Formats: sequence, structure tokens, C-alpha cells
Amino acid sequence: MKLIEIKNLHVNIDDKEILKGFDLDINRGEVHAIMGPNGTGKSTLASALVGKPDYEVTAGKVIFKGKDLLEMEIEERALEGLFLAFQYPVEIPGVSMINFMKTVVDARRKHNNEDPISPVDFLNLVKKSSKLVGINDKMKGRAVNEGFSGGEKKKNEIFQMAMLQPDLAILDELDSGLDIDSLKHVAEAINKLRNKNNAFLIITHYQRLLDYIVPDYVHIMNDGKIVKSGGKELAMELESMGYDDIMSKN
Amino acid sequence: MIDFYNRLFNSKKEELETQILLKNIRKQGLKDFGRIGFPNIKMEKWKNFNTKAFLKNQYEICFEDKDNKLDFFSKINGLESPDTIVFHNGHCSYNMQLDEYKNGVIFGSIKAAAAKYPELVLRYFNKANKQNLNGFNALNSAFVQDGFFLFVPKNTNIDFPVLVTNSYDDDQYHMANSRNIVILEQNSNCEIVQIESSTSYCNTFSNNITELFIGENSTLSLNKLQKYSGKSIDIESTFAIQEKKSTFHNNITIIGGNKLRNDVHIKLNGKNCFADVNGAFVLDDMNEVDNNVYIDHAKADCDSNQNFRGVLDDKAKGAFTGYVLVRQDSQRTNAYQSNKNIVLSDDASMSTNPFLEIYADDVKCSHGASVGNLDANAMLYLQTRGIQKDKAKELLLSAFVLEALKGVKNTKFKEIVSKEIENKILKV
Ligand SMILES: Nc1ncnc2c1ncn2[C@@H]1O[C@H](COP(=O)(O)OP(=O)(O)OP(=O)(O)O)[C@@H](O)[C@H]1O
Ligand SMILES: [Mg+2]
Repeated sequence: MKLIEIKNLHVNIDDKEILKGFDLDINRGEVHAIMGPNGTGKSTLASALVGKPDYEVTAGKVIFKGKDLLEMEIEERALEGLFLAFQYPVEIPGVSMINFMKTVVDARRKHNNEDPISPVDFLNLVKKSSKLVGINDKMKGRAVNEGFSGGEKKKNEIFQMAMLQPDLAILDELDSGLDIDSLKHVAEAINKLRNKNNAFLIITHYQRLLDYIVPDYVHIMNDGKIVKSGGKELAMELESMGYDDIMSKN
Repeated sequence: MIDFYNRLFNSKKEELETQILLKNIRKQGLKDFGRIGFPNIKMEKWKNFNTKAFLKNQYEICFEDKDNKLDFFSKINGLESPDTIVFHNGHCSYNMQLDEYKNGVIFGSIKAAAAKYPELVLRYFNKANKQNLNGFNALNSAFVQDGFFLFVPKNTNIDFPVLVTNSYDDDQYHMANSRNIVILEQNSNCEIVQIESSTSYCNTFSNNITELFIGENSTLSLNKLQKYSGKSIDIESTFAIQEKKSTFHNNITIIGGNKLRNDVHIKLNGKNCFADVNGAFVLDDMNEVDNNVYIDHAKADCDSNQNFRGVLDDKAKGAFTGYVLVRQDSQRTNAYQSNKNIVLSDDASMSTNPFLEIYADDVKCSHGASVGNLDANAMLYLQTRGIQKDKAKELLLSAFVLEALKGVKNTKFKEIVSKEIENKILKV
């Protein structure tokens, strides 16, 4: 069974069609990359998949782990194992990282009919995940993303992903905001989390991230749909040719 | 109405005059009330607070506690303090309680304090509340029955928070006029935790005045929880006078109330003072709350801060007015003010009004106000992590409101008010 099947997805925002027949299948164990010019709908795809309100699906279907994803509430999708590392993670003043993560972990455990996590197990999980991603202890003591630098926000997304171990993680422009060393470190963390049961959908503009996290497939998106797919070499071609040439080449 | 209260005064003259010492204060109060009457919504300062409906009731007064019982609220919350003064329907529960410490601290019922230390009480009575600013203040002067009194002599720290609880559960239309007076001489420190609550069937109209005298280089924290039922009427004025280098922290949490009004007047009467007034409120149903803060920068080099946060649902109505007056010679003043609100329903409303009156030129003032909705992006973020919608809403609203109380150092008090806020938010 495919992990996710996206078929002919059409999405409107404010009556304007942004996704215009998007198709993509992802199997467990695969890493897919989506590249494409600004404003072609990459983030819209991510938002529509997690269920952002006001994103109106006008046609198409999405099957996630055999279930109709579009019928699920936002939180159900997450509890089923879908995760989005946001392009622009929001700051949430007053909600502490620790309180937030505890709530999140327990929500998942409740979903799986498990008791709330013990304080010791929780602290160990936090320790392990923060070490893996390389976030410093001060960040954990603060409110969610509040006053975090651009790079810290991105690391925090991956920290949460490491805590939650989703089946499918969508990483929206993870590389923007991360310095070279951090990018390497975070990519290594993701590689360690990669296994044959999970999958990643990586949205990026740059080849560099894909040097570290090597994708199985690369898709080029334009005007609301995938216009070209290939292996990892497609990203390299794109880097040298640019979008116009690669899209006109057959 | 003026006639009614005149008659009430005459009919209760005997009881009222048992406290000979207050005779002139009472007379003046009644006279001022006769002159100004109750405020109404045509008055600028009362335009957000309609008193007409409840003032139709003829509130009687009552001089003793009929069933002198222990406060239920302090028990519920497991609140404890080495020294607690308990009021029930405005009366000190252990009749005439007055605790006197070796270091000179006096804490207890003002009635008891006035009987034992008449000069001390009279020296401060109505000295911060100078002119019975409005009809409610005047009535309080005329009919005051009891309240708490705290005297802290110079160079004294009370190293635990003293606790005052007021609970109301009287189904009769009674007016409870409490007068609280706190005096900190120089170089002293203390914290007061004040918990007010009422039952759902309570018809008391509480009309309180608190006078605070904060001496040179002293620090007073007044942490208050006003947990009133949807039926309660509560009108409170706080008058603080700060001498040089003094600090005043006033943290107010409001949960409900049919009509609740706070007026906090602070006069920064010496250089290098700091006044810090914060409020958090959660209102639903038909709750109406009007908070007013007046800070008079009467001297140079003082800082003041006002931070109020509210959540309103159903048909709740809220108002915040923050006045800052910087007098001509009050150079190097810093005055900050912020009032942010989340309004969850179309029928709820919030009015926020900053008033800055600045006559000095070397002044840093800032004010920010907003009335908005839950942050949709924050909701999405929490939900995409698997947090249920209701839980996400609760987390965000609690965090939003509690931001106003981030400076509260008493962790026990903070825990209690956080819990109260969360419980109330679960209902909205
Ligand atoms: N809330 C919105 N209201 C109206 N239009 C929107 C909204 N969100 C996105 N759009 C529009 O949808 C289109 C696709 O935006 P999207 O963010 O998905 O692009 P993207 O491919 O992720 O671009 P980038 O590479 O710059 O991140 C853009 O034209 C954008 O202006
Ligand atoms: Mg994008």
C-alpha cells in the first residue's frame, strides 16, 4: 500500500485556483523533493495536506495510509502520522516549549490508547531529540518559537519531528535560514531518522540540501502541478539550466 | 435614591455612630453623596459602565454577620498563610480580629484597629481618598462597616504574604462597604494576597475602598483575585500614594461578575518610584467589567507600567481606560501602557481607551491597544501537532491572558489564578 496518494488535487484560496491537478504517490522509505519557481503552490500543497482552514479543495482526493485524508480534522491528520515543518513557523508567546511538547506527546499517546508519558521518559525523549538536532537548552526553556532566530525556528521544527517520528514529514524550505553548519547537522539528523517505514517530502529551491539528504525522486512544479519528474540528477540539471530551459526540454 | 440612602443613614444612626471616631467622616460622606449622587453613563469616566439597572435595588446595610462562618474559598484552594484575615459578607469572621506582632506590625479588622488605635487609623482614613471622587466612594465613607488594616513600621519585612479573603453569599440585597487601609513606613516590604468571591445566589453589592500609603524605599505587592458570580455587583476604588523610591505591584485577576468596576488611582509623590498595575480577565455570559487606572506622575524620575489582557465571549462587555498624567516638572518619566484583548463572539465587546496627558518634555510614553481574534496561524500550528482544537484554544487563550501576570513572583498565587483562568476558559 502506498503511504500517500494524491490524485488530481485542485485547491482554491479565496476563489483563486492555486493547485490545478496535482498528482503524487509516495511509498514508505522514499524521499521526494519538490522544486519550483516562487508562487507555484508548493506551500499551498503542504498547507492543504495538513488541512489549513480556508483552503478549499474543489476536486481530487488524497489517500493517506489507506484513509481519506481530506475527511480528517487537522489534528487527526497529525495523529495519523502526518507532519509539516513549516516554511514560516509561528511564534506562540506564553506557551512554553516544554508544556507544548508534553501536550503534543500525550495527545499522540492518548490517540494510541497509551497513558501519558512519565516525566522521566519525557525528559529522556527531549534530551535525545534535542541532542540529535543540536538545539541548545535555552531554547527549550522559552515560549514556542518566541524570539527564536530564523535558523532556530527551523531546528525547532526538526526537533519536534524527531520527538514525534511521523510516517510522512513534509519539510517546507528547511534550508532557508539555516547556516551551512546547521544545515549539515540538521540534514544528518534527518538521515538518521530516515528508515524504511517513513517518508519525506522536501520542498526546496536549492540543490545543496539535496546533496545532504539524497532524494529518490525530484519533481518540478509549475503553476499548480508537477510538470516534470526524475531522479536526483534532475535537481542538478535544474541548478545548471534554470526553470525555463528545463521545462521546455523534453 | 439620594433620599433612600439619607433615610437609611438616619435609621441606622445608632449603629453607625458606635464608631465615634468616624462620625465626621460619615457625615461628610453622606453630604458628598447628597451633592453628587451616583455616577451615570453621561459622565465621561462612567460612559462604559451603566449602573442604572442595579441601582434600582434598594440596598440595605447590615452590621453583623448573621452566620459567622469560615470562608469557603480559602479552603477550596488550599490557600494558606501564617496570617489570614477572613471576611464573610463584609464582616470580619472572627469578630474584631487584630493580630499584633512584636516588631510593631498590626494586621486585622479595621474596626478592631480603630477601637484600639484610633489615632493611627484616623491619621490615614480618607487621606488617600481625598474628596470622595464619586457617589460610590462617598457612600463608602458614610456607611463603611469593616475592612482590613495593615500597618508595617519602618525597616520591617513581612516575609510571607498575608492573606485576606472576602466571600459573599448573602441572598438579600445588602450593600457591603469595606474600607481597607495599608500603611508601609520607610524601608519596608510586604505582600498582600486578596481573594474575593461570591456565590451564584448572592445579591450583595460590594462597594470597597482601599487606601495604600507606601513609604520611602518600601515595596508593596497587592495580588488580587476577583472571582465573582454572574450576579455580583462589585465596585472598588484603590488609592495609592507612593513616596520616593517606593514600588507598588498591583496584580489583578478577574473571573466574571455581573458588574464589576475597578478604579486604581496611583500618585507617584516622590522621585524614583515604580508603579506596576497588571490585570487579567476572562468574561463570558453577560459579565461586565470596567477597569480604570489613573497614574499621576507628580514627581520626576518615576516609571509606571500598565498591562491588561482580556478574553471575552458570549455577550460579555469589557472596558479598559488607562490614564497617565505627567506633570510639568516630572522630567525623565517612563510610562508604558498596554491593553490587548481577544473577543470570541460577535455579541461581546471591548472598549479600550488610553489617555495620556503630558506636560513635561523629557518623557518616554508608549501605549498599545488591540482587540482581536484568536491567532489562526497559532491555532493551525498547534493542531498540526495533534493537539485537539479545544485544547489548542485553551492553551492559546490562557497563555494570552496570563502574559499580563508574568511579573507575579508569588508562585502559589500564580498557580491558583492560572487554574482559575484555565477553568473559566474551558467554559468559553
Ligand atoms: N492566503 C492566501 N490568499 C491569497 N493568495 C494566497 C494565499 N496564500 C498563498 N496565496 C497565493 O498562492 C500562490 C502560491 O503560493 P505558495 O505559498 O504556495 O507558493 P510557493 O510555491 O510555496 O512559493 P515560494 O517558493 O515563494 O515559497 C501565490 O500566488 C500566493 O500569492
Ligand atoms: Mg513556499
